[in-house]
Amino acid sequence: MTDTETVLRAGLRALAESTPLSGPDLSSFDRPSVTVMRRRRKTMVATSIAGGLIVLAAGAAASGNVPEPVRSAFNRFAHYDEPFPLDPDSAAQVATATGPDGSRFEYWRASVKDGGTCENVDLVEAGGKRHDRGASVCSHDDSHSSAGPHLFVLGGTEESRGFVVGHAPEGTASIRVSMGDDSVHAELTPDRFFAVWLSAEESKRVASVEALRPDGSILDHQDYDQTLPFKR
Amino acid sequence: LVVQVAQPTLVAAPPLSFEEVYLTRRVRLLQVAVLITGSPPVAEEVVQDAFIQLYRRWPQIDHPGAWVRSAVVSGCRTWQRRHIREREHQADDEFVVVDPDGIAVRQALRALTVRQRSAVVLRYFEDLSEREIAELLDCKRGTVKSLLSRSMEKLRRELDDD
Repeated sequence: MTDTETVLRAGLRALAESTPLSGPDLSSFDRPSVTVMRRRRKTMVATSIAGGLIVLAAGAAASGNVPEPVRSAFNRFAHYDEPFPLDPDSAAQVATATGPDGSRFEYWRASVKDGGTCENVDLVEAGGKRHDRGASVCSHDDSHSSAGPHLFVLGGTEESRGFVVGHAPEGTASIRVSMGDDSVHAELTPDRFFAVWLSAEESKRVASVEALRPDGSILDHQDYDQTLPFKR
Repeated sequence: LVVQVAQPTLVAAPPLSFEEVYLTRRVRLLQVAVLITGSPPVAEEVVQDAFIQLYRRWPQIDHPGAWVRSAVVSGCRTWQRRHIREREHQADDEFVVVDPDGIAVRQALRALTVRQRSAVVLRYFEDLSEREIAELLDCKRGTVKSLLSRSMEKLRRELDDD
């Protein structure tokens, strides 16, 4: 950052903080009764996710071209700009999982300026239609984000499909999604991200997600107990 | 999609009410508008107008925070056109600044056009990307690059003179 930028940022902050502001006045608005009727996407907390079927695809971290629905999903956290000030230039697709029907889950990630990450998973149909229902989570805590040193896993379900995405710790050779008697292995991208596409049936049977060393031993894992998502 | 959020430190974005958007975004938007227009009274007017528009369109708007910011930036442009036409406001110096960087930057910002100031404020105060700024200013990304480059040249000269 140049000296001019440093002075400019400091000066803008100082100017903003010097601004005399009136108190909030909501009296000029009637209570908006339409609020409850709003067509607004809702990211729900918890439920089932499970293990997986098909494939994982390698992630090509490309930060240049962020689709609008993904940007919108990340922008939702702008409402929380105190807790989650995102670095808008850091959004990148880090992994993709494609299913047998040609649909794919795209795993996007952006950095939070004061630490942590926001993660977003988008579903894209075989024909290219991107669902306007991206699911996002943010965390300041590296132990619960893909920026941390541990195995980080997010899972979710859509009506007929599910996904597991995440980031593996250093030393991981591959990821195993265990579903009782069977399991699916996923490869890692060069940056150790992974994504797995699941059928609805499979996504009900996931028991754990494991980071495996080259010799097949377990380096780290997250269990799934059918009530909570992935527990550390 | 349903995402699992087990850890208490994870937060999923819930739906927001109009009141929440107003209460969480208003101050920041006022600051943005003051930095662009230089006038707290004008900023209050621009921001309140933007929220009134948001309120009227609430059922149709998916991302109210982004929408109202866009409306504020647009409102600042409208104010600028009116201001130029009517020459009725002397926007600056309507509030006291004691921080030396603040004083220097306020002086330097006067060398910029409102459009240039908007680009600078959105980039260096709101930390938006060039693409986001281009959308807000309704121009191409290259235009934003050029706006920022020229603005920074001017600001550098102004700040060096101090």
